[in-house]
Amino acid sequence: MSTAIGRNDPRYATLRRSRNLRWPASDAEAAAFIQICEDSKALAAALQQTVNQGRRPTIRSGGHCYEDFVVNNPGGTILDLSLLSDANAVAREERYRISPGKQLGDVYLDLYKRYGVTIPAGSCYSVGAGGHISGGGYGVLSRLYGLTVDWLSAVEILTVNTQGKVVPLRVDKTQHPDLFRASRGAGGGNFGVITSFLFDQLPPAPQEVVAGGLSFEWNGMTEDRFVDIVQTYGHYFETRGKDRDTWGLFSILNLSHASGRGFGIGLQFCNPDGTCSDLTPLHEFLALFDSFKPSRRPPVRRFWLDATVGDHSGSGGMRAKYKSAYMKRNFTKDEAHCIYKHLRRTPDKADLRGGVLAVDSYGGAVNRASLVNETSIAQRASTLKLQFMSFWSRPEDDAARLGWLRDFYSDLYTNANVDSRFSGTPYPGDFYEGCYINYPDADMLSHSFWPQLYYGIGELYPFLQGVKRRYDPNNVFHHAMSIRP
Amino acid sequence: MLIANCKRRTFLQSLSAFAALRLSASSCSRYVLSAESIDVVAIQGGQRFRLQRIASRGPSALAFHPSGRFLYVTNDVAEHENLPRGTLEAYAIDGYDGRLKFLARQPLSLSATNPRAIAIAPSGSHLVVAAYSGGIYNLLPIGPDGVPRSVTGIFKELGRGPCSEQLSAHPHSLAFDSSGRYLISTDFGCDRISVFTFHGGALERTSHIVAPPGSGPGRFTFDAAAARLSVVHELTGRVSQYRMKAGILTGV
Repeated sequence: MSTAIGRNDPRYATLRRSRNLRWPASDAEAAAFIQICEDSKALAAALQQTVNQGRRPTIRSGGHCYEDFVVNNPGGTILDLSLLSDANAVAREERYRISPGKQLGDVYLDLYKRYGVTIPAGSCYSVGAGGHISGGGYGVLSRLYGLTVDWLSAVEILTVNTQGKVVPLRVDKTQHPDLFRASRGAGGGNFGVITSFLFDQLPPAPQEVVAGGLSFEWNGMTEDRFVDIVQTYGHYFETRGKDRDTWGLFSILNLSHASGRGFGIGLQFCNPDGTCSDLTPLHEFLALFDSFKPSRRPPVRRFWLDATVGDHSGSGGMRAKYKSAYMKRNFTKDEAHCIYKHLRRTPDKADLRGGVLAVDSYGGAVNRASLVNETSIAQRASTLKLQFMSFWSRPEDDAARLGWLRDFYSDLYTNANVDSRFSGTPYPGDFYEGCYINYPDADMLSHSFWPQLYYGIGELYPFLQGVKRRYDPNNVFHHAMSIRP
Repeated sequence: MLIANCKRRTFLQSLSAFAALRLSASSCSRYVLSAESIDVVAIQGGQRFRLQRIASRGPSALAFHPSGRFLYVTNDVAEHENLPRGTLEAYAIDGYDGRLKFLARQPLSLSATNPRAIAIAPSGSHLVVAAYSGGIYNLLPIGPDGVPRSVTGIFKELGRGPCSEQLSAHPHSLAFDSSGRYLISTDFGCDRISVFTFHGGALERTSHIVAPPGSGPGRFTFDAAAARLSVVHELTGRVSQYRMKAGILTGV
């Protein structure tokens, strides 16, 4: 069954939006229809009808795309998968099956309650599985278990062949292996509509975790102390953080703009066996920051499920902008100074509350080098993953908000460690490893080398272009940052 | 692809690389497209001389507004402002000597790459551009000032033919019928000839006819009085005739 919602439907104004309220940027860019498809048969029929009418299909699971890749679709149809229900997290044929329209929080609940397993995916409950897993699927358990696509065994996908006919395919390591690999990290809006993710095995969900945090006040913070804190954090993950007994430690250093009260570290920890029997690595990590005299949020022992689905609603219903970078090494002093400068800067007295650089711990199980060639995630040597974010409400603040983040990013990556040809970007090299496709940043399109930022400088992007030409020869599935044929 | 490019170059040189506008009984201006410019050439008493050269990115097809006051040129590019799309340029024509004044550059829709054909409705109220590489038609309204507004209608063609130049749809040539109700198009990539109509700023296909596989339908003429379409098949060199009645194509 499926429901078509057009401009005259009272639901249209609500459902045409992205979660990022900047999109669609104008009425003219909004999709003509939102087609809510409840089973894969109805979805295939809706896709066929869309292409027969010469319309462009875009695909929505949770509606969290940072850029306008889905909802900017003039005259076209958004295929909404949020009610797609013939593929719940049910083990059939001895496999786990996840529907792309499911919210991650519901996936965790289903997998945990039925089987006691999980996927190492994102922390935001309402993110849809479809877009998230297609682009890699990284989250709190990734240091322990790798990326979600590292576990993926097969995908069911609707493609559109050269003659415009919808063709359902099941792809895995032996059938259509190229399309399977492409779907493991580069599947977002590039090749077709994924209707199921299948996993032969999944890791056990941890039994319990310890959650805690540290915070530092901007009031009284000196630049030197700030630099020390940032480097202490980064140093840990390029050294001790590589040891297996620490892989259950996930942390975010939230470097918030100085218009707020302070900044801090949030963390979760468990031992590799999913218990909290030995907290030595956690205490060792926390002790690194003792000399900076942070306020401590006392570590609290919680059931993993509660910690995972209980309190991560995710930000939404605001205007937002994001950028990303992978780092293979600790911050240099210059970088830390540069970050400090931008967090303290308030150009034209703009309101920059809600501006933050989140420095996530990375590495661990993600960094198994063999996965480079099996998946479409090229970044397998980083120990930090950065997300630059800004959240605000009023459209009239767009320019100041976007400008601050753009200048911050561009300035940070104009340094001696970046070849001048790639200045202003974390181009893959000795220090950086580019950007994360699930944190897409349309500003990067101004660089001719943007595909290398997201897909690396090796054979991956040309490979993906080959898959694109083969499986979507008419470029039916396209957006501003899709694989260019 | 190289062959297709060569063919296209020949095609541009032979047919579409210039268009002439008669300004008075004794003089006319000719608009000549080259790789990176548009030349305005005056022809007077058998003499020709260049009046103006305007830089333009890959000008590929041109069309006059029915009022004779505006000229539209497609830019055969695959990227504009970092997005995969072509563009359309609009110029005002000086009524005295035919010189051009730049009015506007309008981006086409996402994936409307390498536009190489343009047709303007007889009423002058809208135009359609065909993007060769992207396989997409765009409909744009034209304001009273001659400036094309944002794209309101997008139609994506799908298909391929048996030849190596036909790996995906490649809309080739376009023309309105004299009523302006129908738009006829040929698709070189998928051996198809289509008729479109317009509803609320959108393009809808009313009918299409399948040309011989591998024939590559391209240039065509439409004889409105006889409702007869003569299509050149670029890959075979043959010409086929079709009839159009009430938006429906049939073979002759």
